[in-house]
Amino acid sequence: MPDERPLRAVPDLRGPQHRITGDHWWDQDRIAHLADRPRHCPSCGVALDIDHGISVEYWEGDNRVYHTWCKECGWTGDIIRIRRMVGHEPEDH
Amino acid sequence: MLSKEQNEQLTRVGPGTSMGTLLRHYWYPVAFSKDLEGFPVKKVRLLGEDFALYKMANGEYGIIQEACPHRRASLVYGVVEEDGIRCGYHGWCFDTEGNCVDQPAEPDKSTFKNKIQAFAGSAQEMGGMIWAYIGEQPAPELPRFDVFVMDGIRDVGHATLPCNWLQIMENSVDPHHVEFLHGRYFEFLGNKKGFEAPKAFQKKHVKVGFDSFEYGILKRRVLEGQSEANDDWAVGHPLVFPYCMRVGGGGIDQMQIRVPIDDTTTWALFYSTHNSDQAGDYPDQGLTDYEYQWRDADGNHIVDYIEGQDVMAWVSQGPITDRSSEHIGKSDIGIVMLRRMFKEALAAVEAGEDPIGVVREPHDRIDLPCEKDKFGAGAEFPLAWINMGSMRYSPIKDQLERFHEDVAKAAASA
Repeated sequence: MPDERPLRAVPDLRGPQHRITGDHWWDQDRIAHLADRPRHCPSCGVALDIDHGISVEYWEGDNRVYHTWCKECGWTGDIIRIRRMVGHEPEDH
Repeated sequence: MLSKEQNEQLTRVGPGTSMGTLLRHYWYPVAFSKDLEGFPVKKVRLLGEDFALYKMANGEYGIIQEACPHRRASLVYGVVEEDGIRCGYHGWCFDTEGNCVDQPAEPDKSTFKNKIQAFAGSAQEMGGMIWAYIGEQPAPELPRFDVFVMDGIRDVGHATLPCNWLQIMENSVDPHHVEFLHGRYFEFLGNKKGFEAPKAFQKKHVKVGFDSFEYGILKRRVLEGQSEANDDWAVGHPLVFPYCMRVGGGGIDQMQIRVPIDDTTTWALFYSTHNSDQAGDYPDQGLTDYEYQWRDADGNHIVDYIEGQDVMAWVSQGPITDRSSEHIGKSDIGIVMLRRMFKEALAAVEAGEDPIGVVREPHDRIDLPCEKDKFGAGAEFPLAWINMGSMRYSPIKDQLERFHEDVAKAAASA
């Protein structure tokens, strides 16, 4: 069975005092997604903050992919957050 | 999904912002040439700043900050001089580079004017429009893209839309929307309201591809029933970085232009040049411009034509869409690529380099790759585009239809 636990421990942010905008039912989900994005370049290790690169999350089937570009070293690639190891190449997600 | 900070960086265009600095490396259309034929001064707004655009007696143009450096009155209400503009309030005069060259009320021997500098950009005419550059000098060349300088009948529909320009640009690298927004949704509307939606837009995408090239991103698609040998893949069409998209087909060459007026306002133009080797001798009539309608009397979107559907998708996302709450997928990789390209361009500017698409070499014309046989629809395509697109609002719509009918007849008998 896939591991359904959160990928990263997310504090309980229910309640209006913790909401980012206060008007989206998925705020909790958004916080979790933001918490999961890569924080450092996998090549040179620089912080992937607004001044040093970008990571854009998109979905590919069950996987969440972070397309990542590092301004410092130019590394570009997809970082995939996975829940389980799969031993074959699926034909289609 | 993007973080809120990244979204802010990519969407704010005002002076002093990262994106504003990047976008100030390019020329933008700010008015039609005819706008200054009746009266030689016009207020324009670009990248969150207000300017006075003016035409001098020698036919050249100037663009200067709207507020006079003296007492901040508007230079839009100024007097156009031989080589500049004079404030209507106290007569301070500025040349085309923003130098203050006269202060009539100051003592004759005063050197005060030498301390005054207004911000002035550069302005030029091309293809029936006036283009402005408001970045650092020296200004790059105004790119003479094919659509603006080729022969043909010029027809430009335009509207000022209440949304950020980037969400319009992201639509340009989103091929899949065509088969749904202009295909399935259009068909649904047609069935409900009693008209036939164009079939060419309903074909399913089998494959999409994106390549970066000298001027932006080349977008390709294979539709059901087609192969990679078809124009839609073999040639494709480009997003012209950072604010245009070149499209065409069946004798219509079009540049879709999205001028960032400010963070939440975009001037969206469909600049079409109708031409064909098969055409007869059509006289040059200059440029015809008109506003296309996108909202009805009740404030609802008008969605029974192609660009109206696009406008709905752009504007309904909100003034600046919240990308921290989006959920994008594999079919959105063109958008992912565009965001990365913007970040690369921002880095180039920070390093003191020209970003992608800035042209420094003098040239006569830049030809952009663009498919001719669009969606495999053949001669029907231009007529469907005219009748089911924003050109239906054109005052010369009948003439455009006749033109393409003549072209089709000439091609059939050739």
